[in-house]
Formats: sequence, structure tokens, C-alpha cells
Amino acid sequence: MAILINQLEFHYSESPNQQVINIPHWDLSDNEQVFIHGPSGCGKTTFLNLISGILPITSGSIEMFGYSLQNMKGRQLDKHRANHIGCVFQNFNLIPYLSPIENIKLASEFSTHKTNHATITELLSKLQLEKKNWNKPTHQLSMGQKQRVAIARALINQPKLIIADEPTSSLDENNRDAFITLLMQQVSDLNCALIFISHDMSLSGHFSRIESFKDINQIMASL
Amino acid sequence: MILTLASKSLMNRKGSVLLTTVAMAVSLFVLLAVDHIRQQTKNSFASTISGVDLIVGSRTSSINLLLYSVFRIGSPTANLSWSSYEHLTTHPKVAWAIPISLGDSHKGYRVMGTTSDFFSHFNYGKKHALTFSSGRAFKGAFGAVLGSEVANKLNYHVKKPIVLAHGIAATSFTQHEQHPFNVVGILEPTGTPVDQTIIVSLQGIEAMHQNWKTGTRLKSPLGTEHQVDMLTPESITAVMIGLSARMATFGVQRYIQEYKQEPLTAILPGVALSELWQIVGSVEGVLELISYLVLLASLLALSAMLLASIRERHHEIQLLRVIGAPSWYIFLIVELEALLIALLSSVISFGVLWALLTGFQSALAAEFGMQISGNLFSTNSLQIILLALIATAIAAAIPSIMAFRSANFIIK
Repeated sequence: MAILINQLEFHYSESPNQQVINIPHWDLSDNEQVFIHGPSGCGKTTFLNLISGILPITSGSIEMFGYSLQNMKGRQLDKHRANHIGCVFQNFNLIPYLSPIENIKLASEFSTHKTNHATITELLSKLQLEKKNWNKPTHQLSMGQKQRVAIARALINQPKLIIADEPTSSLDENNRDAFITLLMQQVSDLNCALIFISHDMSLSGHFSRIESFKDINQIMASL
Repeated sequence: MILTLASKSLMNRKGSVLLTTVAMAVSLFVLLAVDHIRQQTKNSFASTISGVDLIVGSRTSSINLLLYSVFRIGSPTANLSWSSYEHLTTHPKVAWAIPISLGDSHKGYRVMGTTSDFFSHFNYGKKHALTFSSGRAFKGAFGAVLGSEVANKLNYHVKKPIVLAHGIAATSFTQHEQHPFNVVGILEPTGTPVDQTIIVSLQGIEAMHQNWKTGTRLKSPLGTEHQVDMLTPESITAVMIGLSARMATFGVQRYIQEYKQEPLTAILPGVALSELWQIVGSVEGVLELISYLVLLASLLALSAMLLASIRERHHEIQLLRVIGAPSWYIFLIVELEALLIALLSSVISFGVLWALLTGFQSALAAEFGMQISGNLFSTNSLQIILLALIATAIAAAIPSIMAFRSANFIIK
């Protein structure tokens, strides 16, 4: 089992009365890809931050690849995140003043999985980023190129789970289709789990499991 | 990798980073310069006189005796008699004793009467003997040897006749024009008060003052040259003494202090110099304090600059956390950026100071008689740089902790 969530509840410490997350049960198998949709501001990002161990779990449990996140300390969570999870966001996936190669190398810094230069360049060519762009600062790249570097960055540590949070929102239609095709191909090559969050239902065709976040997060129902 | 990240992040904020670096380089420059010049002055101060074991004068304070006998500053309270001098030379441990007599001047430069032994026994620095850039030591009564600055400023050469003035004011109404002296030698620069001194024979001084009583001139002039050479003064200002064994210094000092015929003071030049330095040095201590405060100000500016950057870099910190960077890594990046700025500033200030010192070395020596070496690589300068780096790390702790906290409480 990739993820197993039980009785997960969460509220931000600033507003203790406002529950943000209430998930009685949710799971995701190894190698399973799920498409989650829902309106913005319904706790999707909080959900992802809990799964990736950035936010501490205060109530309930998340089991990920056999590790209990609620029992892990900050340092262990950092290591766990670097080793097992790759992330792609809508914006700001990359450090703008570093080159694609440096951005990817930076991600491999924090993982136990060792990467050499050849692996990085191989990955970049596989993701169709022209060689001339490899050493440019990433703020000089187009949005489509940036998102491809972001995929490479997410894949470099050979994670067991990829989290994609609205990764196509800033892309035009052509780039969006190219992006999703490339991502799905990499995921099936790597044989890893994928949580894909988007409000763009036209992308759901690539997935066999499609869920509404409202159904996962019970908080919405009780409001 | 963290170094690449920190340096590229700095490059990405060139403007503010550059200004901060310059501010810090300026403050480090001031600090290094003040300290270096302080060290150099202290050294050249301590090397004003060497090879002389004791200086003897009439009963006075040791600093006063040092000031008038070595630095030609102020006036002696009293002279010591020639017979006391002759008595001192008979002491078995005294290898040589050079009498000196002060009180006259030439165009503001002090005149010192002594014997030609002065040139062979007086040392400065690390036992450097006096050397002549032209001419030689005087032999007759009316030869004068000029310090390098005197010769330079007054543009005097060997064989130039000069008239000495009575008293030590720059413009004197009583000139010893009946007894002109001839320049016979000019000394190499020493960086000591010798450069500003005109050295003549005791006989010459005595001859000038023959027939003078209580500061005014009586009528009849001197005898022949031969008679002049036989003159001995009644009293002299001070005596420089070299001993046959340094071990005897304190014994001889006590012997002189307890001399019954006349109240005398004997000082060890090195000891008196360091006493005097404690007074003079405190001024430079204040300068040093000020330059440390300037450094503190620039460190606070650095800290403020970094603090402002943390807000702009919220996304960056967030991203680093997402890819698995621990919070201390974020802390370390900010610290590293501060240290890189400090290091760059150090190199700049060091380089500029070195270039300036090397470029103006000869000008400083010629204008101010300051022998400042361009060699900055003293343990002191390195200590200052090290201290600045440590202070930077401490000052940068504030923005670093901010970054650390923002790394821990991120993302909504």
C-alpha cells in the first residue's frame, strides 16, 4: 500500500475551531494513479502537505510505504520526503537562478539515492529539453520547458510517489497535452504511484481512478 | 552544492549585495589600516633607540628624561655636571658614555652637541648603526651632521655654512652668527628623531656660548681653533651609556641613582619607551574602538539586507523544504551568504590597503618620517579578519534564524 490514511484531522494552530481536514479513511495502492479534482480553497494543498510530511500530523494516522508519518520526527520526515516523494507544482518548481542541471542536482542532495551527472543529462534528454538549455538559469526558460525540468527534478530520486498539484494550470493547451503525456509515460516507466490534483477535468481521461476531493475530505459535507 | 546555491543566490541579488560588500569592505579597510599603522608606529616608536643601555640625566621623571634626550621634546629641568659625567666613565662596567647637550636650534630643528662617538654607538631599530648618505662625521669643533629630514627640507648639502640660534624656538632673535658651522655629513633616513636633528660637537656648542652668561652675550670673542678644541663644557644635558655586560644594567642604574655628589636619574630606554607608549597608545586605542564600531554598523547593515531578502525568498525556502532540505540547511544558506560577503569584503579591503601602502610607502617615509611596511600578513591582520568573520556569523544569525523559522512554519 502506497498510502493509508485513517481518522486524519487537521486544523491550523492559529484557528483551532476551523477544521481544514477530516479524512476518516483513504488509501492508494502502489503503482496506482489517482486524479483528484475540487474547487480551490477546499484543503487540497493542506492535504498534500500532510502527505509529504511538511505539516505535522496532530490527529489520526498516515502510513506511507509502511512508515507511520505521525511517529516520525522533522529530520526523518525531510529524509523520507527526499527519498520517496517527487513534487510538481503549478508555479515555482525551480530555483530561478540555478540551471536545470543544478536544480536537479540540488534535489538529489537531500536523498540517500545517489545520482551522477550522466543520469541527470540522460533524464533531461528523455524529457526533451534541448542541450543548450541545460546550463542556463531556469528563469530564462519558457513555462513548458520549466515544467519539463520540474518533472525531471521530481523523478531524479526515483520516488515511489509523485505528487502533482495543478501542474498544468500555467501551460497552454499544446504544452499541457505534451506535459501530461510525458508525465504519465515517466510514471509508468518508473512504476510509481501518482496523486494528480487539477480542476481541469479534460485531463482525467488519462486516469482510471478519479475522485472528487469533497468525497475524500468529509469536512466539506459537514459544513 | 550549498556553496553554489549561496553564491548564485548572491549573484542573483547583485545590487544590494554589492553595496553591502562595499560598506563592509570600507569598514574593514579602516579597521585594518588603523591597526596596521598602530602596530607600525608602535614598532618604529620602540625602535627609536637601541644599543644604549642607560640614559642618565639630572633628577627628573623617566618619561621626561626620555622625551628630551631621545625625542628632543620639552626641556631638561636641570643639567648634569661634567664632573659627574667623567666620574661615570670611570665605572668599571661602563663600556662607553656619550655626553649630549641640547638647547640650541636651527630653523626650528634642534641642535644636539655630542662627541663623534655618537655615530659609532647610537643604534636604532634592530641594531642599525647610523650611516651617512653623504659626507662623514665631524672631526673639528665646527662641523655639523644633519639628519635626513633637516637636509631635505632645508635643501642643505655638505659644505653649506649654517648659523645656529640660541634657544629652541623656530624664530630666534639671538643668533650665534660669530660661530658658523659647516655641514660635513648628512645621515640616511632612520625614521627616528635623529632625522630632525642637527648634530654638532660639544666643543662647538661650548665655543658658541663662550662669553655668554645668563642668556646674553658679553663682548669679547673666542680664541683660536686650537683653543676651541680644548674646551670642555661645565655641564651637559644627558649621557647615553653602553655597558660591558647587560647583566650589570640594574646594578649600574642603582649606582647612578644613589650617586651622592649630584641627584641623577638613570633610565632603561626600552622600559621608558613602553611607559611612554602606554600614554601615546591610548589615543590609538580610541581610534581602534571607533573602527570596531564602524564594523559593527556595517555588520548590522548586512544583517538588515539579509533579513529583507528572506521575505522575497519565501518561495525559494518553501521549495527547498519540499525537495527535502532540512530547516538547518536553510539556516546554513543564509549564514554562508553572509560569510561569503564578509570574505569578499576582507579580500577587497586587504587588497586596497596593500596597494595603497605599497604605493605611498616612500611618500609616507619622506613626508612624515613614517616607516610603514606594506606587509599586511601579520597575525594581527589575520586575527582581525577572523574576528570579522566570526562577528559576521553572529550578526547573520538573526536573518538565518528568521529563515529557519519561515522554513519550519511554511505553506498554507
